[in-house]
Amino acid sequence: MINLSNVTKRFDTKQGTLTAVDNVNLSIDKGEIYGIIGYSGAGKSTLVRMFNGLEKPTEGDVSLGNSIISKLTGKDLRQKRQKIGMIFQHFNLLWSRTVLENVLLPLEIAKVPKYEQLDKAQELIRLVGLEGRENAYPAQLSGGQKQRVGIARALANEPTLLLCDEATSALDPQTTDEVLDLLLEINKRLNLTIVIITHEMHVVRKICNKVAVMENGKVVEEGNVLDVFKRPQQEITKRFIRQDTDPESEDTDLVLSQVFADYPEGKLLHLTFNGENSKQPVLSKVIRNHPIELNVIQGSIQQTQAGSIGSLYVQVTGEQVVIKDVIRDLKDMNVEVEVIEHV
Amino acid sequence: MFKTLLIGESLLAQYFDFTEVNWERISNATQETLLMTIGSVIAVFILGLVIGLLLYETNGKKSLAVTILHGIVSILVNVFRSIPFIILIVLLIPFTQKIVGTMIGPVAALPALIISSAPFYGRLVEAGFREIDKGVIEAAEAMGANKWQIIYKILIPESMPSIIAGITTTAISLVGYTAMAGVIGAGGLGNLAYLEGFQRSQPTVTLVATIIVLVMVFVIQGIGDRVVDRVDKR
Repeated sequence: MINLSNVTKRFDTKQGTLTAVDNVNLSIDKGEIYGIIGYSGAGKSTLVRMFNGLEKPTEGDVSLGNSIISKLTGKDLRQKRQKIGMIFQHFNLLWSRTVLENVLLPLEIAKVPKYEQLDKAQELIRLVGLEGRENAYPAQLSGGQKQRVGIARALANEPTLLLCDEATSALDPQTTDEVLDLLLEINKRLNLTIVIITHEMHVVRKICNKVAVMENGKVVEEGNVLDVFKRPQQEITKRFIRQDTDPESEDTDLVLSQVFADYPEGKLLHLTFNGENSKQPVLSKVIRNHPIELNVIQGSIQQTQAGSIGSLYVQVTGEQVVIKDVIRDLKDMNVEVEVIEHV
Repeated sequence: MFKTLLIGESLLAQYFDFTEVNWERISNATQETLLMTIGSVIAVFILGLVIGLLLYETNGKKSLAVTILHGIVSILVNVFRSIPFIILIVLLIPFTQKIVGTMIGPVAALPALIISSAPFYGRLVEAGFREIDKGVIEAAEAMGANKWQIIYKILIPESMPSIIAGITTTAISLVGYTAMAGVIGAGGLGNLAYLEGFQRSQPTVTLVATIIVLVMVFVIQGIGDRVVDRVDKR
């Protein structure tokens, strides 16, 4: 549905040319929730602004359906934008308008007949769970409620695509989850394609089907969320996953280096299980079958859209050959094994 | 002690000799001042919005022509804002005679009043537009709004408190300007205070004129504050 081919965006600044987006190729299917994750400055905000023509690529093309967004201008572009919703980190609501009037704004812009506007807006306010607050002003709402207004507003013209620019970054964890649940519900109900820009792996894990990891303007890793969680290739991806599965990774690092110091002969393994095998007694099997000692350092289980992912740090002591067998057995049981050499 | 009190008393008496006051003239002068103030405020409001929009929309654009336009408007605004009002009236005499046909009466004061205040108010409006969160404008663009829709659906409503507060300040300074315009023949309370109060030494007339001007200023400020309060939902 969306195709980016060789998209590059450069900005001329006083310090010289800045390449914000560097030769990105992406394709996003209809109905997908696609996450683009990266640290600030990775170019993800610039990238998502090319999806609705707020930014034009310096090179390459962005196409949506059968029109090339990056080539549209003037009226054609404005009409296309009406079918692309967008929500923002800071909500960007009009303080001068009530909730209802904010939702009416895109309908007024699209010149929807007056008698349809009100029904449509009220239906959307119901959809996002803000009945009764129609006449409140944004200043009277909480962050989560403001983002709900943002979502209702973005859906007003029945878009085929919803862009979320750090939509949950200004919200607390509880509210973030509520907003993510709402997005997921909308995705299922309207079969709406959603593109999510974020710096939190939690957001990707919770609702995305696919993910692209961005670093310095490039997409360095891409794939199904479950696969990326199971087999992260890039260092930055591993860091993002660790930030999510193990929020106190600093502590784990400390524990790991302590274990390294105490048992130089052992091996440290990071095991990743998914869905099926997380229910099997994998560890007791290997302990029973091999003469080893096993010490669990840290573990967690996370839910993704495609199933659960378990993450376990263990220390294995025993003979080198035996440990090799253990690793092989674990791999046979479909467990991802990473030998941690140093922290 | 007794002497100063006596002087004080006779001084006070000068200010309260209401036999000097011709209330009909006061009423006429008040109407003239109101006419000048209201007429110029309306014109300044419209012109100032246009100037403010022009300054805002032409700022920081890539096109050379637009940048030159911005430069020209900006220089004109700064020049007319800087000329002292009393000099501007004199400077505009030929222009006023050309378009109004006379130099006498309240209508003749309007060109100078408008030309002196519209640029000032334009700057206030521009500052109001600049205060608007860029994200809100981006959101409107993302909805497919055109330039005109952004102006009347976003820029103007979202800067309404600044627009109202700005016209209040401008209106108050315009009341002051009408008094100055009065001195050179535009009529109104300034004219009355000068001709009757000063030249015929009737301080009571000056005092009455002063009080009426003060009441006008307070009323304008009061209305302005109320309206700002009403429209500001932040």
